[in-house]
Amino acid sequence: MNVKGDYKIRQIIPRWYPFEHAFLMGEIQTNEKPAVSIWTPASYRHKEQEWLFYRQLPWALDFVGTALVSNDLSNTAAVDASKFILNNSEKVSGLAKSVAEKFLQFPEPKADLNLSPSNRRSVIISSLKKHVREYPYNAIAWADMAFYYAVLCQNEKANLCISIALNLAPENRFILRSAARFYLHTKNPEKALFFLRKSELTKRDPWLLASEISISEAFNLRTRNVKIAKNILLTLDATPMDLAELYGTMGTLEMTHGGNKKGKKLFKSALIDPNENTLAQAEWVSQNIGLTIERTSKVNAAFEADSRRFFYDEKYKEALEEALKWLRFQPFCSHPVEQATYIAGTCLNDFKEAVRIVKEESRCLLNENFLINNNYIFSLASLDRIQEAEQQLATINFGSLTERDQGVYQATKGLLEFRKGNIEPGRLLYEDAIKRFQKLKEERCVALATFYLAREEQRVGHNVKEMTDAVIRLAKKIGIKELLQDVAKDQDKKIII
Amino acid sequence: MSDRPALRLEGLELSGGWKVEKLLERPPTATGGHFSVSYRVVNIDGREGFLKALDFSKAFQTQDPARTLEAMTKAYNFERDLLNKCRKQKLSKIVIPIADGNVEVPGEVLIGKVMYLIFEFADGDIRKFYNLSINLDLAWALRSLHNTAVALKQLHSRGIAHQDLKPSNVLFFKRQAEFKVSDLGKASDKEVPCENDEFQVPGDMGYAPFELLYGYTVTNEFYRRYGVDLYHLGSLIFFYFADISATQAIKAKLAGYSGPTLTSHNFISDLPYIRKAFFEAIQELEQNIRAKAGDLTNEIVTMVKELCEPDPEKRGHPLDRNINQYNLERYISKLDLLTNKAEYMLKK
Repeated sequence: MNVKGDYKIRQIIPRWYPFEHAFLMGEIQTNEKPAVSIWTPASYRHKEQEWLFYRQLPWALDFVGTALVSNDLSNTAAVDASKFILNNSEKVSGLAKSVAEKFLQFPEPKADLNLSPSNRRSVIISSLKKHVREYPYNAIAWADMAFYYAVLCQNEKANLCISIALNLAPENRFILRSAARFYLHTKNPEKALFFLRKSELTKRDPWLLASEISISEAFNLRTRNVKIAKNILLTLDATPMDLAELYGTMGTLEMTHGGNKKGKKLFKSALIDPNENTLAQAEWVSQNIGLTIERTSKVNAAFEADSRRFFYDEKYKEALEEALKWLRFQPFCSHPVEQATYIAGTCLNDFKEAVRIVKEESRCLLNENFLINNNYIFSLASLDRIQEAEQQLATINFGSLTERDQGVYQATKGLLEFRKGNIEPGRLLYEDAIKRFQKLKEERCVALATFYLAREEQRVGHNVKEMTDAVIRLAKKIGIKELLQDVAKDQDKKIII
Repeated sequence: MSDRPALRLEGLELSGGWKVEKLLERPPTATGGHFSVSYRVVNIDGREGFLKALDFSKAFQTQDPARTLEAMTKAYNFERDLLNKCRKQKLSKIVIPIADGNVEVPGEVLIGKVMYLIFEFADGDIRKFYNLSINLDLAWALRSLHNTAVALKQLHSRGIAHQDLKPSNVLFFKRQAEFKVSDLGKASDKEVPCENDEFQVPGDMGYAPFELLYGYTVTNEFYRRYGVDLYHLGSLIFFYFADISATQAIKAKLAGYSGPTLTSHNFISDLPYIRKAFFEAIQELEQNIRAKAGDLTNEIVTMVKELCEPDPEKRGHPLDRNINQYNLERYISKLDLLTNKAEYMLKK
C-alpha cells in the first residue's frame, strides 16, 4: 500500500472541470461590478421615453433588453418595465422572459460538484456531440467533451476534442487551463507549457501565469514569467480571488527556495479569498512552514484541503469521505484515488472499501496508474483474494516501472507470497523492497514496507518487536502518524489501567 | 406657443404643393433622428407624406451650441446626400425622400428656417403590425425579411452600410404589401467619410453585434460594416420569433453564467462564452421557430446561425466566405423561396 499523495513539492497545477463547475469555482467571471456602458445615450433615452409613453410589451422588451446589454442595472424605469414583462410573461417568448429575469437578478451559480455517476457520462458525451454537430464553433462544448472522454480514459478522443477547442479559442482562460491540465494528464508538460506560453493572455492573466509557473516548477522546466508575476501582484487591480492562485504559486516558489518568511506573507494574501486549489496548497504548505490557516470565507469544493486537514488531524474517516468527494470532483485524476485507497487501507484497515473505490469509482484508472493498481492488488491480497490479486499483478510490466515503483512492486509481491503461504520468498521480496527504498532514501516507503512485513510476520506467529520498534522510530522521525495508531492505542490502554 | 420653430409647422404650406397637417408625437417610427420632429403632410394631388423636420433649436440647449449645430448640419447634409444618392440610383426598397427643402416659420428671429425631408407615408414600422411572436404571421414576417435583405443588398452594392437596422427602421406599406428600410442617419458611405465612421457603435447598442460592443475590429476595410448589417438582419429573425434582438438574447444567456462580468474585456478571450451563449439562445429560438414554421425551421435556423455568428470572420454564408464574405444574394433567394412556401402553406 502506498501513496504518492504527499508529493515532495505540491504545486498549484490547474484543475480541470466542466464549464459549469469552472463558473462555480469563480474561474469564468470576476467579482467586479459591471461597468455601465451606454454607447448611444440618445437612442437609449428615447427607448426609455417610448416605454413610458406606450407602456406596452414591445417597448418594454426593447428597453429592458438594451438596459441589460448596457449593464444599466439600477435604472428604475427598466426595473419597472422588467416587472411589467414578468407580469405578462405568458404573452412573450421564454427568451424575452429571461431577459427580464436576468435584468432583475443575476442568478446564483448552481451546479452539483460531485460529477454524475459514470453511467451518465456517456449520455453527457452524446448530448455534447449533438451540440458540436449543430454548432461546431462552440469551443466550450469541445472542452467539456474532452473532459468527459478523459474521465472515461479515452484519451485519444479527449486529445482530439481539446485540440479543436484550442484551435477555436487559443486565447481563453478556461480553454487554456483545461488544455494544460489535459496535457499534464497525458504526461506531456512541454505541450501544456507550449500553449500557455504561446498565448498573449498569459502575460496579463494571473490565473494563467500561476498555471505556467506551477507547471514549469513541477517539471523542473525553466520559466521566464516570475518577474512578470511579481509585477502583476504589485500592479494589477484584480479581486483577491483572481490573484489567489498566483499568490499561492509565488509563495510556494519562495518557500522551495528557502524564503519561508516571504512565502508565509504571500500565502496570507493568497488566503484572503482562495479557491479550493490554493487552499489545498496552503494545507500542504502548513505542514512545512507552520502556516496557520484561518478560513474566513466559504470555499467551494475544498475537498482536497479538507481531506488533508482531517488526515493531519488523524480523523481518517472524515479524511476518506473528503477524498472520495475530491475523487468525484476530479474523476480523471489519480491523486484522489491514491489518497482514498491509502486512507481506507493503511489508516482505516478497510481493504474492502479500498477495493470498492477502485472498482466502482475509478475503474478506468486502474491500468493507467501503477500506484492505484498496486493499492488495489495490495487490498485484494490483504482480503486473501489471492487469485484476483495475482491476475491483476500480471498486468504490470516490471521493466517499465520507476526504481521507486519497482520497490513498491516487490513489496506487494512479497505480500502475495506470504498470503499464499510462501513465507521465505515473501520475506525475501519485502527485504529486497526495503533495500531498494533505503538506496533511494525513500524513508516513508521503508517505514511502510517494514510495517507491512511486520504485519505478515505477526500473522504467521513470529516475533516482530524489533521490526515494530524500527517502524515506530522511523514513523516518529518523519511524521507518519497513521503508522503510530497502535502505539497510541497501547498508551491509552496503559493510562486506563 | 412653443419656442422651438420645428414644433410650429402645423398648417404651413411648403413648396411642391405640400401642406403640413399634424405633428406626430412620439410615433413608433421615431427612434432614429433624435433632433428631429415628425409631421403628417398632404399634397394637393392627394398624396400623403411623412415630414422629418430638423430641430436646430435643440442645439441651443446644449453646452456648446456652435459645435452641436455644426454636427447637426453635417449629419443632416450627410443623410440628405445619401438619400439623394439612393433616389438617383432608384433603390426601390429604401425609404427615400419625395421632396426636401426649408420653410420659414413666422415670428422666429434667431433661426426662422426649418429644414425638412418628406418621405412617402408608411403605415407604420413592423413593431406596429407583428403583435408579438405568439401571434406571428409567418408569411408576412418572411416577406419583410426578404424585402429587408433586398434593401441591404441595394445599399451594399452602392457602397453604403446601414448600421442601424432594427424593427423600428423597417416600414410597412400596406397598400403595396411591401416593406422598406428607413433611416440612414447612422449609415456609412464608402466614398464619403462621415462622423458615423468614427463611432465604435454607430447604431442602436441593443442590436449591436458583440464585436462592436467590445470595440473589436478584425479589419479596417469598409466591408466589415456590411457584416454588421448581416448581423442585424439575423437579429430581425430573433425579433420575430423571440420578441427581442440577438444581442439581447445572447446577453441574457451570458448573464446566466458570467454573472455581472466576464473574465476579461477582450473580445477574442470572451468569444467562446459569447458563442456558447449564442448556441443556447439559438436552441431556444429553434423551438419558437418550429412552433410557427414547421418544416421551414431548419432553413431559418441555419440562416440565423450564419447571419448572427458572433465571430465577424465566420459570419455570412460559408460558400461566400473566401470571395465576397458578406454577400446577401443567397439569403435573398432563400428568403424568397421560404416566403413562397409559407404563403403556399397558408393557402392550403
